[in-house]
Amino acid sequence: MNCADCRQELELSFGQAEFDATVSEHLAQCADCRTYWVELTELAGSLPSDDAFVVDATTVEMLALKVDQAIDAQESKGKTTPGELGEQRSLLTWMRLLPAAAALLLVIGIGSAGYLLGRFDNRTTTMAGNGAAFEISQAMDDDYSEPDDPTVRLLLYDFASDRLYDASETLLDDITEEELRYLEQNFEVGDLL
Amino acid sequence: MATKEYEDIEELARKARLGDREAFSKIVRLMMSRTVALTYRMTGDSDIAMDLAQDSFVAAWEKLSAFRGEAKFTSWLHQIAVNKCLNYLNQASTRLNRSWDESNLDTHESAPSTSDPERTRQINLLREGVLRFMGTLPAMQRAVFELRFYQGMSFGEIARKLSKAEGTVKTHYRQAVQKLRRMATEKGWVS
Repeated sequence: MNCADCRQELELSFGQAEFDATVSEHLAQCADCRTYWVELTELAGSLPSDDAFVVDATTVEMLALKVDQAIDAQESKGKTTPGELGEQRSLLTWMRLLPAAAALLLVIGIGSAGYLLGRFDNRTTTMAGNGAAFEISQAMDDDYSEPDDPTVRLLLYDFASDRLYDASETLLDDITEEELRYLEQNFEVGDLL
Repeated sequence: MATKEYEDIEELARKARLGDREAFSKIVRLMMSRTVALTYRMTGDSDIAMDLAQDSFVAAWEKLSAFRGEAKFTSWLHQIAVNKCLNYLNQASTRLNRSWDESNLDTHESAPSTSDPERTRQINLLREGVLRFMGTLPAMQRAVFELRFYQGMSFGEIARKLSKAEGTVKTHYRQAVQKLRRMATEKGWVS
């Protein structure tokens, strides 16, 4: 360590009790830097401490009362206490999370809708597939003609698909009295099976 | 400040953070003197120093919920006070010059009681000397000297608090020390 570096370190440690070991080594062999160190140490020691600037008790009390009044005035204006501020901060944190939560719900919603639409498409595909089966069936039975009534067509598709609805359950549970009468009047049991 | 007093203040700060006004009032009374000492050294004007100390406590109450307890409450409060002083000093450079007039170097604050009148006179003289020296420093150098010499902060801490590079903070401190040494030699403070 040279003298310039040593003095720089001594200035940085002004007011501190300790300094680097390399500084000690240099001081041990350099009288000029040792003099500089003694000078700075004396100066730091001669500076009045924090206690020299103390304020008397009466002034402290007067100032403390003013602080109390200032806080009271603020609170009467509607400013809140630290505890309330903490609660507000928590609320703000939640409010900040709201957009994220909304975005998450939107993603879930879109995902669910997509899933349901997919199922709908599958159903359509299945029905379409079953439609093909009907065509084969039609080819085998020249007398067959597809019923015009949509309710009946749906019942037939359901029966044929055997996936989304159980036809027998549909017939037993979901069919209305009116539909049943219609079926009885227009179809034989064999037509449905 | 005694260790017990520090512990008391930390405990009081914990209560105050939950909205306990009484605990905060006790903190104000325990820390007011040292806070005024800080603002006095920073501004050199006792009236301004007292105003800034009060403002610092009011600001501390407002910001208390943001105090996480990662640092000592005393350091946190003194940081608020230093920032208040820096804002004040930066607001108008004319204020800075005016505040260092001889007339403002009053002896409003009492020196520590000592039975030796000569010693009391010497302390008052040195105190004024320190105030005069602080008055010659630019605001940032003054803040660095205050935080390092009187608050005992590390250069790293000061750099973080003042949002400056550590090297810059060290340079400010060295320049302040060199200036102080020159002034002390001129005024004959040290033998």
